[in-house]
Amino acid sequence: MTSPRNGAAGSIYDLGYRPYEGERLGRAYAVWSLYFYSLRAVFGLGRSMGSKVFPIGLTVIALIPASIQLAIAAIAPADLEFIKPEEYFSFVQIVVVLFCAVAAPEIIGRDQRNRTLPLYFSRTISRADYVSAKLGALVVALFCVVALPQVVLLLGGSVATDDLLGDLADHIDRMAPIIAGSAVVAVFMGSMSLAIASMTPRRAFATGAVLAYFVIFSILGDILVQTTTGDFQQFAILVSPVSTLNGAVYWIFNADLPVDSTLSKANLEGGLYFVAAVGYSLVAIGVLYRRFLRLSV
Amino acid sequence: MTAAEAPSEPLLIETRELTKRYGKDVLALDALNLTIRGGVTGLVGANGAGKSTLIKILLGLLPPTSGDASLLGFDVRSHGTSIRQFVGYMPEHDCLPPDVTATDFVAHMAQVNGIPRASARERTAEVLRHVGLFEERYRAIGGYSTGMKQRVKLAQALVHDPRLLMLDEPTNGLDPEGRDEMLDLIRRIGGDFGIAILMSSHLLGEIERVCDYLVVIDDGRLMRSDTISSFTTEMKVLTVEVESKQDELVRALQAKGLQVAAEGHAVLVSLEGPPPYDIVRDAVVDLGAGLLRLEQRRHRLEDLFNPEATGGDD
Repeated sequence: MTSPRNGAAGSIYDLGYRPYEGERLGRAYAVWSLYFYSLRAVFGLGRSMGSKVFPIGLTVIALIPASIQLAIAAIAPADLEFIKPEEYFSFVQIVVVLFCAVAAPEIIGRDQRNRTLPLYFSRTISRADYVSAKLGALVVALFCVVALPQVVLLLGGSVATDDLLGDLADHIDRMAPIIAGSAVVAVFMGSMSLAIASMTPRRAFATGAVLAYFVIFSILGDILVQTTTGDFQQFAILVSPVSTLNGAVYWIFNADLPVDSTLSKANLEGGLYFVAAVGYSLVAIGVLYRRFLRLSV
Repeated sequence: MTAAEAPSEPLLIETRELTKRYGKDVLALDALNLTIRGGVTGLVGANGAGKSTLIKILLGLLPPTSGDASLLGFDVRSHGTSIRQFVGYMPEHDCLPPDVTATDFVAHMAQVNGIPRASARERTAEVLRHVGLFEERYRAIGGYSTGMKQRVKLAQALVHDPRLLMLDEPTNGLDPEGRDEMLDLIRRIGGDFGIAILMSSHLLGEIERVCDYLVVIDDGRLMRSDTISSFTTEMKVLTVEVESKQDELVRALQAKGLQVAAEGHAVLVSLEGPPPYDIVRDAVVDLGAGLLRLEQRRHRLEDLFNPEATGGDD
């Protein structure tokens, strides 16, 4: 038995130590727990109010175009479509970039910053498990931020009509490209921003680097398209992460490119945007795993 | 390597020719052969002796350059993730996120070791109580004192009820009172809780207080591994301390034909030959010196690092 002194600071008597005889669910559960904890952390859940402001604020802002469209649809003739489904990402791309710049350093950098990694790596997960859980958390969070407003728009548009079920049936085929397009955006932006943010434990640097990549390379890609000609002009657009993703989304929706846009000027075969987006994602994922497999803790 | 291998205790840690090289020049572990069984084992060595490297290899945080290491009978490289659910680790450095509560953090750490959510919350409450954190556990860790943070670090290592706990310099940064409390806690965990402990420290006094066994490594090699008591065997020297007249006592005892030396406040009398106790007593009484202490001297752990006194089987 333990001495009574040990329980003196709060309890009247000490029950003594009880060994744990319950279930041990092992590695898969451990990885799932880390994934779920990280997903909550992306939105600041379980953290201070300050940690919730940006991620939840940005998620709400991403819903604004959908809300405006729905408001217009509610008072104007039903056929007025001011945002086409394939355009939604281009409306909110800045918001999604900002979300990445806030969330990626939060979930990948803070364990390096607080030196918590040795605690994770000495538990029942591997380093690759750790990266998978973090990557899964950010990709799923981004998928929600990108897909949620489009789903709201789709369902809301049907609610506003007189024939809810009929309208829903007419438009339900839009659900597949919404899911596929959002998935491509989420995987690309999630893996790329984590790969960049994992390079430094310093939050400000990581946020700056993620923003710099998306902003500078997008501007650079557009400039190259505007100032060059021929094959180089066609492929130069792939320098821009935002244009690459927009091109991939238009291709997934099988939609016409907007007239007078950089995309139409580059005039690249649509499938190549998708291939490029997948390629970039694979490289980023490779860099991310490599970084953590070699990191000394 | 004798009493530490008492066959009644299960094999906890075993290394064979374990070597770790950093770059070309630094040899942190040099073909280390080591066997550790249950109880509380102290791991001592000078800075850079290889203590942290050994712990990190055992935990799978570092790959060894060559050689083998096993924990609880399983190879650390091939079975790392499955054995680590039975191992707890408290690092030397800060490792706690400042913006979460101790309760949330420790419960999360239990879940990352495979403990289901409900059990994790329950275990967290119990373990935080055992380490002495009460109402504070609902506050963010950033506002904790060093002592409280050390307790959270210990709690996260203990929450999944490990069979082996590895503590790297657990009293680092604590004030004397906090140090005492931490050592008491470690003693309880090793004793009442029945969890085997490997604890590194450079403070021999701490090791002597809480450990049953001692492993000494130097320059990446095993210097000695044995029970604490074998390190502190009695010497053939009697220590005498008096209130005053120390010099006169030395002369008086020498006049009686004893081998005597003064060391600080003590007079050391050789115990080789016939027992000198009566002579010492009479001399002290004759001088009216006031006897403070009379005891047979023991080897001290400090002697390990004093080459002249080393009795190790290096």
